[in-house]
Amino acid sequence: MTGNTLKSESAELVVLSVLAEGAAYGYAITRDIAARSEGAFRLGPGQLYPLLSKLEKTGLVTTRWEEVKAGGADQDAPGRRRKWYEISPKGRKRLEQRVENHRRLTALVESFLAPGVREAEA
Amino acid sequence: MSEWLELFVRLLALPAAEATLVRDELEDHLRSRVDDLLIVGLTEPEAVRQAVAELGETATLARGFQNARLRPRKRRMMMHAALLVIAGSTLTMSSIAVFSGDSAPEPVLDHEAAVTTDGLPPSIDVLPETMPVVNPELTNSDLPMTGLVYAGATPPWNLTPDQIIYTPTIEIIPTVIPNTVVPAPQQDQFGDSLVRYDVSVLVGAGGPLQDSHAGAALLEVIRDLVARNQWEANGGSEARASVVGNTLFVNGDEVTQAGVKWVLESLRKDNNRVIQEQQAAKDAAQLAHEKTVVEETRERERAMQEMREAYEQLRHQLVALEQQRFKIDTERQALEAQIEAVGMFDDTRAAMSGLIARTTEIEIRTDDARERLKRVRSLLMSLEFGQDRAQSAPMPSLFGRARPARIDDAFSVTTDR
Repeated sequence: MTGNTLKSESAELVVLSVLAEGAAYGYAITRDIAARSEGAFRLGPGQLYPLLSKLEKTGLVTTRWEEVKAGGADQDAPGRRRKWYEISPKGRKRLEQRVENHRRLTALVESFLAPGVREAEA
Repeated sequence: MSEWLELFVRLLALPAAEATLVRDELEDHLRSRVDDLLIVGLTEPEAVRQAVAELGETATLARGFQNARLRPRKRRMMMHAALLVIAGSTLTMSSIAVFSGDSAPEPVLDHEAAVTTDGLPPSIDVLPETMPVVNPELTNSDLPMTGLVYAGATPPWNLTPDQIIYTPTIEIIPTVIPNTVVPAPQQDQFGDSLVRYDVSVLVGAGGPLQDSHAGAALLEVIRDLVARNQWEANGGSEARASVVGNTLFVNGDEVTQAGVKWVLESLRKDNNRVIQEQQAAKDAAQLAHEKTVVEETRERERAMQEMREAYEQLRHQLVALEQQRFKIDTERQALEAQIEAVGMFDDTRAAMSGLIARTTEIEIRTDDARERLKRVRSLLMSLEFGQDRAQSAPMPSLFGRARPARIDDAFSVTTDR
């Protein structure tokens, strides 16, 4: 897996954004971020799960467990457990704040760019 | 995969129920990843190997879970505790495992204290030859429920205590005993040792480097004077140093430690010399001040004595003038009686003119003496009570016990006699 590692603040913003579109489990979040950024961003388990744990403790996400059975496995045999994450109302509010801050910062930085640079970017 | 998960759970050092939840979640992650890798054509052993490899360094992953589990304050406390355990250790590299229970910690030790187990949080036992946890802040906080703290061969010396993260490593797993602090070897495999130096004289209150950059300034001096190219901060890799509070930690070989010791001794001597010079200058200034005060006091007393004498002279002059005035008035009354009885003649007219002239002269001299007496009184009051109080202050002991409120009263009393 290649790509840039997300900084913790950006990671929180990205994860909450992914969860704002629907509940997901850890591996799905990792895969989603990699796919949407076309591999530009990497959020490995060492960063993702501690972050999810923190989000859960601070009430920004809620969790639930479900049992998953592998395809073709014995339906009577116990499957593995999967932890789902869902953004909470508090998490949505935090996300809105983060997005707003992010946009404000981006606009601020943009205002410092020379006109030629802005046009070239456009 | 199962073996890896078991190892990971051991590294987590979490309570069993909590560890199981983490294990289940990571197992789901691994199996999901393996499923994806199988789809793209890897064999199952290859897929498992790659999935596990993608998780990264096992210890780092475990540390991330531990840090996330602790609240920030707890994490800080834990880091402080770990740092001070190192500070209190016998100048060694330490591998420390700290586990704690629910009970509140007891008051803890002064970090300068020698080896002792007194005052340790009740949830932590200390093996012989090891050092106690020493962190006053722990008295006001609850210890983490459980945790693993390890100062490895390359602790992050350039970080502040709040930033220090101790990396659990698989090598110390065999030494981890629940509720126990485990002693560490004296030196690492490279012969480097961690030495603690008390630099409170240099960076503490009253020291020559007592500001927010004191530690940085001290480190700069040391890195400049001792084995300059070995320090990590100078691009080397053999030596590291950090100042935490009033303590300097240096990790390096024997030669480096000797150099650091020499620099610190030199700085202390220089500091002592400066202190002695400052004290000598202070003493000289104090002596000069005292001498000045004594001289000023003597001068003032001398001036007051002169003023008192002048006052006495003026008072006597006034008395004499009043006596003369009284005498002239008597003569004048007798002359007026004579004129009334026998009439005015040339000789009596001339005598009367003479008496009037003498009366006028005496009145002028009396007014002059009174004016001078007032000035002397004012000067005397200024000398004895200060300028501001001169007008309202009582009279000095010039008149003995019967001290009049005003000089005029004094004069009247004197002249009435």
